[in-house]
Amino acid sequence: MSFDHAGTTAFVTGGGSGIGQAIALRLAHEGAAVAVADVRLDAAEATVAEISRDEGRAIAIELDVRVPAHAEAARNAALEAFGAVHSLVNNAGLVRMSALDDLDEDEWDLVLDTNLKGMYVVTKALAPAIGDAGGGAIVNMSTIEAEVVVSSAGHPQVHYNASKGGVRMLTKALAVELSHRRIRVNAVAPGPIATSFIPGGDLRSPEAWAFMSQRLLVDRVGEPEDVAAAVSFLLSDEASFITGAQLPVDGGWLTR
Amino acid sequence: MRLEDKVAVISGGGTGIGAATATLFASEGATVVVTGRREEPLHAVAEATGGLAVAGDVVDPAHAGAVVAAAIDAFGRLDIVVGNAGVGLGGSAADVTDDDWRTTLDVNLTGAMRLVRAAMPALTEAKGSIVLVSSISGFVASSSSVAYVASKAGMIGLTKAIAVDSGPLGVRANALCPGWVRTQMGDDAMADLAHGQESTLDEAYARATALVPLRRAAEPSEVAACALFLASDAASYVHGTTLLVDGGGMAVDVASVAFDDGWEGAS
Repeated sequence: MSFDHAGTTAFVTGGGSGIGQAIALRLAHEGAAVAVADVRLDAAEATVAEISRDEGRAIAIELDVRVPAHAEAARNAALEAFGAVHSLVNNAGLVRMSALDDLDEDEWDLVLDTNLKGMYVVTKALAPAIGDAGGGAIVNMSTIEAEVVVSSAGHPQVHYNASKGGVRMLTKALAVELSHRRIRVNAVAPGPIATSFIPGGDLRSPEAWAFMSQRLLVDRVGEPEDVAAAVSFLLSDEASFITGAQLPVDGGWLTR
Repeated sequence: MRLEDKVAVISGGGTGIGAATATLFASEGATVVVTGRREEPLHAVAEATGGLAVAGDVVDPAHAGAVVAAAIDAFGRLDIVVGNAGVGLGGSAADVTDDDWRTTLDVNLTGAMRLVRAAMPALTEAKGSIVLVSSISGFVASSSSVAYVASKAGMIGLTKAIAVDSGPLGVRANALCPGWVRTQMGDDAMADLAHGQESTLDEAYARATALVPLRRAAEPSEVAACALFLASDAASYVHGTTLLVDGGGMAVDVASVAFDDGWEGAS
C-alpha cells in the first residue's frame, strides 16, 4: 500500500544504507524529492543512483549529524536543490556494545552524540524550513530498546539504550513545541530488522533466529521496507492527527 | 486501490468512525460488511459503499456469528475485522449502575472479543488483520467514566492477548486509540460540556481540545485513515501494538500547557 508524497521534499539522515536507504527509496518512489544525507557520501550517492534509475529526484549530501554547521549546510543544499523541505527523517544512528566496566567516555559520547544530540542538531536546522513550507512532519528512528532492554546474549549497551530512551522523550517534547509550527513529530520503533546495523551480527543466521523466534509473534525477521512503510505513513497527510506517538514495527516483540 | 479484493467487517459501521472507515475501505476497493443496531444509518452506509448491512445488537451472543456467516455467504472470504462498536455511558465509582457497567463492557469489550472469535477461522485462512478501536481512555481516565475507561483499557489488553494467539496463525491484531473525534458520541459529550454555558458545539470542542497540541478534535476520516494503515500490508510487521491518534494529547501533561509561551489558549 502506498502513500502520496508528490510535490514534497524529504530529508533523510543515514540515507545511505539499511533502514534509511529503504525510507529514501520508498519516499522517492511515492513522489517525494529526497535529500539523502549520510556521513558516508559514497553511500548517499549510491542511494541517489538507485532513486535516479527509478526516475526519482534526489541529491546526496555528506552529513555528520553531530555537527551543527554540517546540518545547516545540508539544509541549505536541500533548499537550493528543491526549494523547500516538508519532511525530515532522523534516522542516522549507530550501536556499540560494551559492558559498563569497559565502556569508556569516548564510546558513550559517540553513541549519545550520534543518536540523540544528532536529532537535536538536525531538527534545529530543519524545523524552520519545514515551518516556512507551511508545516510538515518529522519521524525519529527509535527502537524497541527505547522501551525494554533486550538482553542480547551478553552484549550490554547502556549507552544505546539511554540514547534511544532519550529519542522517545525528545519526540514527545518536539511534538508539543513544534505543533505551533504545524509540524507533527512521531517515532518509529523497529524490532529486529535485517540490516548490517549490528556490527558482526547477522539477523538471518539460524542462531539469531533461534533467539528471536521466541520473542516475535510474526514468523520472520523484519525488513527495512517494513519500517519504511510505517515512516511513509506517519509522514503522509493520512496521519494528520498523529503526533507525539511512537509506533513499534516489531513483529509483536513488545506485546508480551 | 489499496484494499482490492479484501472483505472487511466493520462493527458500529453505521455512524462516526465506523462509517468513515467503511467509506474509506470501499473507496480503496474493499467490500465492506457493516454492522450496528440502527437499521437506517447502516443501510445508508451499505448503499453508499455497495456493501452489505447486517443489523443486530452486539450484546446478542449470536450476533457475531451471524455477521461473519453473512460475510462469508455473500463474499466467500473475510480479510479484515474492525471492532469499532462502542458506547460511552457515564457513571462514577460512587454511582455507576450495574446496567450501565454491564452494557458498556458487553458492547465495547465482550462485543469486540466475540466478533474476533467468530472471525478467527476465516481470518486465519485469509492471513488477515484485526483492528480494534480503543481510546486514549484506555491509558488515561476522565471523570464519571469508570465503565468506559475500564472497557477501553480492557480492549488494549484484549488486543495484545489476541495478538499473542493470532500472530502464529498469520493474523495481525492492533488497536487504535483516538482522542476526541467529531462523531455523534463526541457531539453528545460536547453537548454535556456546553450545557448551561450557552456555548456552541464548536466552542465545546475547542474547550475540550484546548490543551491538545493540535488544538482540535479529529475528523472521523482521520481515524479511518489509521485503520486503513493498520489493516493494510503497509503495516505487515506492525503487530500487537496500539497506535495513538490523539493530536499529541498523550505526549503532554495537559495541566501544564497553559504555562507554555507558545500556547494560544482556548479563547
